[in-house]
Amino acid sequence: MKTTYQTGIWGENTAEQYLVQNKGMVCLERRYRTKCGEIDLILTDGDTVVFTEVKTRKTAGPGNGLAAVNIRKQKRILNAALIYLMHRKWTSRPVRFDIVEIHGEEIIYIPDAFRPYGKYYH
Amino acid sequence: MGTEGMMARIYSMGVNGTEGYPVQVEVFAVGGIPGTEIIGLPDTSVRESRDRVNAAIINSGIELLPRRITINLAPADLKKEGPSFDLPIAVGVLIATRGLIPAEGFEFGKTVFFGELSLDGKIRAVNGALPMVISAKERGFQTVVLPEENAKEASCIEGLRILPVSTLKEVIHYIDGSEIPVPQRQMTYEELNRENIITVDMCQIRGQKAARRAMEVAAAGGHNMLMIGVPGSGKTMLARCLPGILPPLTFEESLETTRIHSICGRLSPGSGLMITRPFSAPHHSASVASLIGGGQNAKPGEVSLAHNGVLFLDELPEFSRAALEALRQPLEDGIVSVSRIRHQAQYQSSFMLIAAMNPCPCGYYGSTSRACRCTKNEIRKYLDRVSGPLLDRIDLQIEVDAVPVQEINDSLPAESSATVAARVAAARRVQQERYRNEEFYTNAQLNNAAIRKYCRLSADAETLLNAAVEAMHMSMRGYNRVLKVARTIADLDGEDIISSSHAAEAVQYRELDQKYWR
Repeated sequence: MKTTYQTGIWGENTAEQYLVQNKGMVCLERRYRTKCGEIDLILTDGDTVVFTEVKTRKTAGPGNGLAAVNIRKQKRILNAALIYLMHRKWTSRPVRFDIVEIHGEEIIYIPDAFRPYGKYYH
Repeated sequence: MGTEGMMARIYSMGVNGTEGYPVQVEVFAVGGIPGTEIIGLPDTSVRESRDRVNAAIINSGIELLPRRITINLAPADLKKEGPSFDLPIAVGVLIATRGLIPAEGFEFGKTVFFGELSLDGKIRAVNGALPMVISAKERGFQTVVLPEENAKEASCIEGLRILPVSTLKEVIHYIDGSEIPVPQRQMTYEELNRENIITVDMCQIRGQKAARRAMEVAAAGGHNMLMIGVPGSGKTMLARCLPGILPPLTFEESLETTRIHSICGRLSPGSGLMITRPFSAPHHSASVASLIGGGQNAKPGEVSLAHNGVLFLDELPEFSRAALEALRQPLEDGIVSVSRIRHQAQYQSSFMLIAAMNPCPCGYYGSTSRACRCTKNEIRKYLDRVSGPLLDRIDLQIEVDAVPVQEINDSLPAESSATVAARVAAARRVQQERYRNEEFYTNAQLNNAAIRKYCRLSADAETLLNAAVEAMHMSMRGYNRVLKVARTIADLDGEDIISSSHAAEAVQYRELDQKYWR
């Protein structure tokens, strides 16, 4: 029996493998953590920087993990992304936010899942 | 490393009062945190357009790249409202994100776009299309891309290319040069359906000879009219006949009236300019704001919707005092100024006031068929709800009694609206000819100086009127109003000089003042 923590790590590894091997992305960071938010995977897809949130679910039906990325979680991802971009001095690179849900053998991949610039996020 | 920012500038139109003003929709797309932000004082319906635009673009089969998109509606100091900016925003977003490459030499600076988008990429009609198209022409634009349902409304404006579109895809094909939409055919006003739509025909009214005549006089001279009568005597039906006997709107009048109806969204989809005069009959619970105009955005009220037409107030004393007094300015000036926090607007409101009321609370005071059971005080109180200054602005006052049963059965079919309308039109032509160098069009609009100039009396008529003034204790103003009505009656007869019979008839329409409001 895996702990929740181990389940999370396993899911992130599976997702990274999937994105690098099947989608041709390059992984830059794993489990990027800051005071005001965290990101599971940071990759590049060509010129675009991709911030990916991975949700691993064992029991509930598919889609449950996606729903868990609510506005609060999105804000935390956004904050971490802004810090990362500033750290790298990438002010005008195209950016995308993806979500990967690992559901047993099944992988649900949502590219461009949300676009957090604008009034809703203030 | 990075994505260079890309800028697009599209022209659109906003509406303030009855005037359109140009709006520049600037769209800037650049790398960074993706999303869309709209600035430039948008209201909620404009801000929501972001979601409509995104869905419409995706459903038109174009990938919307994740970019940081800023949309600015300039001038940034005017409040923008309504969904008509959806289309220019969508075009701007497509160009700024390079989802659409415009054809070589496409002139965005001379083209105006407006229209509401639905999520599937269809284009819906918007309010205020006519004022926007007129302003676009005045500002020197050459092409207007608008929703198909609004095209007919704009088809009478000359010197513009009107391109009706029904989907975002058509607009995309137009801009990339692959397919140009069929321009709306230019139509003259005469070409539009010139048929006056008559809801109630005069021939349906039995009896009521006197009232019919008064209606004809009112229509011929543009006079305001008050009908006092027992319940069920046909006051409402008479009033509803009026639009049918008034001359159809002229082109200029139609533009004025359609403009107001256009910004209120009162035009039925696909309809062109209005041809029949408007008939507006607000309920007596109407507030001042709904009559005069108001609301946050200073929208026009019933008096403006009745511009160049008829405002019918049934049960006149039941209207609130404030509402009735507020009518005085539009009655006098033919224009209302509406001031609200965000907007100030002036709307034209030149209408014929037709009012109807019962003579007393129970309704049967003065009736030949039934006894009234109101006290003197009750009657006085009821009648006093209509103020003197308002009565002063009503030229014709008539009594309408119930039609006796044998008259309903016996009488021959009465004259139809068309016959009466022909006489009214003839009288109106006489007035137009006579006042061609003046600022007014009808006898009702004559001022004191013009009354002396144009209302010449025969010797008989003068003696008769002097006697009437004496006997009825008529004021100078009352006298002038009798003269105006007499002028109209003479015009109906096609005579230049007012004779004693014309004057006598005009005096009759003043007698109610004496009977009820002593």
